[in-house]
Amino acid sequence: MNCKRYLALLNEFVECTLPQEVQDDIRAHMETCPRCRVFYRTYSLTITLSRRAENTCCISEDQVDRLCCLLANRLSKK
Amino acid sequence: MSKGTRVPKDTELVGRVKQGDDHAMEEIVKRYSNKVYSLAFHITHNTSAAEEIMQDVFLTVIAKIGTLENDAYFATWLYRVTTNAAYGFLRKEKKYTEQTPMDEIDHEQIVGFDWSELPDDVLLSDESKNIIRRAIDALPESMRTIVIMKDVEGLKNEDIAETLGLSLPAVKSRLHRGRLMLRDTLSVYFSRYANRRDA
Repeated sequence: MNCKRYLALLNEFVECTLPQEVQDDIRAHMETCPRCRVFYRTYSLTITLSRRAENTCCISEDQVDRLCCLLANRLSKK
Repeated sequence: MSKGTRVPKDTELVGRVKQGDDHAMEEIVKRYSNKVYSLAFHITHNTSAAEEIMQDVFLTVIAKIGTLENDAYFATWLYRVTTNAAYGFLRKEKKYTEQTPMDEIDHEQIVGFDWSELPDDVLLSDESKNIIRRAIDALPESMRTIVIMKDVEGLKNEDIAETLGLSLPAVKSRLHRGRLMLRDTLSVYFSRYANRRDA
């Protein structure tokens, strides 16, 4: 494992979709490479922050009810 | 929901909607309206547009559900219709311009500062949230949609691939590149705190 290959596999590493031996290789590489260790932490945090940066939003029950009425009306005309 | 209540599968509801069952349509709306609205909102950042898109998407469901050959793919079809409608809105409003993807991101240029150790009040400040939102908005569309679907909406890679008509490796690759670009933006932004810590 070198830094270039590590970087290419990082996406799958954080999602734990790599074969176990590759996951282990990456962990071993990070043990010896401080730069890649930092990269892993900041990459993972980027994903977390992306999720938190965007406001959760939802529609009201009134909006759902209005939409259902409109669609029922449209369906009846089909 | 009470114990023992049977929750109909999407395929069953879709089959009934194809027969004109408005109760099935209502169930579909209750199940998916928030997801459709949220995806449209995160692409457009406009509440009234998101509501309008949501309405149009479900009207499209009624008009075109007969063309859906495999009912099991209803959800991904719905997300595809939503995504297309949201980008259609942005193009109409001329609020979106495709940017040139970075072929090669020069990670050597990014300072190796470990900003993951910054306190939460810095990482989660309104300013840093704005930086991230703007960075997501600035991603090329091919990456932006996938980052929103995966990291904001929490969809599975397989569903994103099906929704966008892409291969799974293509989704993973674009997601990775998008995340790398976001990380680079954040690294530049947070590097201002490196000097303060060193001082």
